[in-house]
Formats: sequence, C-alpha cells, structure tokens
Amino acid sequence: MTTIKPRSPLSPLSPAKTTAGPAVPQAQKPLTGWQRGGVVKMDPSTKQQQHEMAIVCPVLAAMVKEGRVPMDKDGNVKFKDLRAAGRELDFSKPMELSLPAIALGGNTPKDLLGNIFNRSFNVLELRSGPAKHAADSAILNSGAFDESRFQAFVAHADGKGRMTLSSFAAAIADQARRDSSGPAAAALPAGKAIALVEYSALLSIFGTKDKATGEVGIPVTQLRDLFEHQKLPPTTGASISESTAIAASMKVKVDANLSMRAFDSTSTITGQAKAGIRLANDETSTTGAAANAAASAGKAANCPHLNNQAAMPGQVKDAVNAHTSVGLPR
Amino acid sequence: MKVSAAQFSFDAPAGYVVEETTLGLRSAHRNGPSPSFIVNTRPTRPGATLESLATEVVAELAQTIGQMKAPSLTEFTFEDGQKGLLVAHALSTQSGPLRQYFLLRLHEGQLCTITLTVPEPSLNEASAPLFMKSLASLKTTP
Repeated sequence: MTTIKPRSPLSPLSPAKTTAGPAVPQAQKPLTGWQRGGVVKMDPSTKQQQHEMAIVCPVLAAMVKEGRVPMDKDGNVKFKDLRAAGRELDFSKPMELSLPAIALGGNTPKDLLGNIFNRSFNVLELRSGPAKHAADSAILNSGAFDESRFQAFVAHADGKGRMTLSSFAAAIADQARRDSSGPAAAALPAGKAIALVEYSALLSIFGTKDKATGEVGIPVTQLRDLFEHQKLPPTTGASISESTAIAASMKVKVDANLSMRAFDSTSTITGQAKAGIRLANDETSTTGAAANAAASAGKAANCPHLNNQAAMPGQVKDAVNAHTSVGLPR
Repeated sequence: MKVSAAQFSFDAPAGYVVEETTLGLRSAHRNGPSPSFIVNTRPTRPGATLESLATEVVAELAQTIGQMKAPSLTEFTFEDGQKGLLVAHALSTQSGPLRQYFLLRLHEGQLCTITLTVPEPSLNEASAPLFMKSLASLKTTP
C-alpha cells in the first residue's frame, strides 16, 4: 500500500494540487487569436461564423439597421454609401472623407486589396480586423448585447447620467487595465489608441453640451439605444478638429487614470487619502486585493519608488510605465 | 513574534519586525458618512526631513486628487511638545463635501501619517476639538 504524504502548499519546488476542480475547458477553436476578459479577436478562418453575429461596431450596426448604409447579403458595404451616410448625418467634411480610409483597413490585411478594388469592406467580418481591438468596451463581443459589460461601461457616467470626456477616459482606463496582462497585453498600446479615436469621434459626432455646465456628453439612454437597439443618437455636425482635440484631452485623462491606480497602495499618501474617503463615505473597497498586492510587491523590492531607490515619479507616464506593462510613449 | 491587527493576530517568523503598518478606523456608531482615520507608519528614505516629506505629500495629492480645494500646510504641536506638519484640503465626492487632514510626525527615520477624513456636516464646534485632541495625542512609543 502506498501512502501519499501531503505536500506543503508553499513548497517552492513542487507546488501541491490543493483542489481537483473541473478541467478548464479549452478555448473554442474558432475563437483563436488573443483572448482576455472576454475580448476576442476572431481568426480570419471564422468569417462564416462571424456572419451569424451582430456587427461588432455599434455605429456601423446602427447605420446599417437604420438603412443609412446598404449592406449586401454577404455583409459588404460600399465606401460611397458610407460617405453618403456621413454627409446625411452632418459629419464634417474631413470626418466624412476619413470614413472610407478607416473602413479600408477594417478587415484583415489579406482583404485589403479586395477592399481597394471593390471600393467596399465587410462589416460582418470586423472581428478579425483592427476594428476589434484591446481596451474596447466588449459590449457586443459575444455577437449580442451584453448588459453587464454595458453597465461596467456606463458606470463612469457623471451625476446627470451622461458619458462625458472624463467618463470615456475612465472607461478606456478600466478596459486597458482589463487587458493589461495576458495575451492581449501586446495589442494594448494600439488598442488603447484606437479606443481613444473611437470614443472621441463618438463624443464629437453625437455629444451635446450640458445646458448648465457646457460639458459635452452623451446620455446613457442614447448609448443604450446605440449598443442595444442599433439606434443612432442625434448628431451635432462637429468638425474633425474637435474630435482630435477631444482625443488629445481624453488621452491625458486616460493616462492620469491609469497612473492614479499605481498610487492606490496605502503605502502612498494618495492611497491613504482614498482609503480615508472610502471609509468616511461608507463605501466597500473594490481594490483592496490590488492595493495589498501593490504594497507587497513594493516591499519585495520590485518597486523602485516604494523601495526608496527612486523619487516618486513626477510624470503620469513614468508612473504607468514603472508599474504596468502598458508601456506609454515618453 | 505575535502580530495583531484588529481582531486578528498571527505568529511572524523569528527575526521579523513590523516595518510598515496601515490602520483604518471609523466610528462604531455611524449612520451614513462619518469621519475616518487612516494611520500609516513607514520608514523614510535616509535624510528625509519633515518639510520635504510634507512637500511631497502636497505635490502628490495635487496631481492625484483632481478635486483638491483650498490646500494648506501648517505646523502642528503635539501634546508632548514635539512638532509635526498638517496638510489639509477639501474635496467634493458623490456622497458630499469632505475635508481631509494629513498629520505627519517624523521620529528616527520613521514617519507616521494620520489621515483624518471628515464629512463637512460632521465638522462643527463640538467635534473639531475632539478630533484635534486625538491628533495631538500622537506620540512615540519606547
């Protein structure tokens, strides 16, 4: 008879199996590519499967559903129809002209030549192209509206139920954190940049000014209509320069938001300030584990700032680069 | 060595000493937003002065607490006559306006910071002296 001695779960050489839970199911073959937090870029070989799913871009989905952009039975949309829809929606001239250029690269590189010659692109196959990127909302990932991801997205709305520049920036930061490790991490810098362009364009085109504060935002109700019911919000006819300015401002806020999390450890005065606010306001901690991990990692000499080898970073980018794998340009 | 934290304790391996602590306190009789204390002790880098540490506190908060209003930095005298520095600021939260006080005391390379966060409605002529008396009681232990 063989006696099996229990191993210490802390054994450095041979970690013991402490649970015998069910085997982790293998990822479905068709959903190859990088996957993280439900964010999926689908393999080009799955195009037929993608045709059974909702259009992953909510704006394009709404434009198709509202009949503003004709889509053939295979999912192809003509560039000229896209531009015409942009004109009808009061897009600025530069933004209208940029639509085909954006659409051109919406599918895989292999599709590029076909898209150029046919002057069209496939809106049903965006899931295997650059349009499906890291740090996105992932609300339409599964092919249908995902209520929980929508709630996570609009949780950043202001007190008036509007998603403002700050709200979108906070959402991007959260989504970047979601994808900051694992297979999607390498795609994150580009994904975050694409998210900035998308959300700033969304705010530029569909945002309205709050009558009291003048702050531009989109009501959550309109965003629900867009994502869930493929209904476009009313447009404002904003210019591309406004969109660019919004993107620049949003980027600063995203970076600041990301670096703020690096300061969340109660080893920093910011972390203590936040902990004090949380206790005073009777709120439940949602970042306790992360904060503890950050403090512990710092004490393990991995953090040059907590270990007093370097002054606390003065620039938000330096803080982000020092503490995360995101990697922001200096 | 037995290490205690609130209702918990554990036996740390021999040779370990407490290097850094963080405690969070709030009233047991609260009803909604109420004052809180966060007490943190940690070693400082060699040569750090109270003034330089307080300046870093203000600089960091100015960058990370977006809604920071009316910041101030004043000297503070403890009950035992020693000097500390008090950083204060106000901020708005969804639960209402708050005032925060960061009291710093440096002793032989160890910094103790008490963060007092008070909902503005809780700050009045009756409560303020109690909070200040509590802050002033901070002292070093042998």
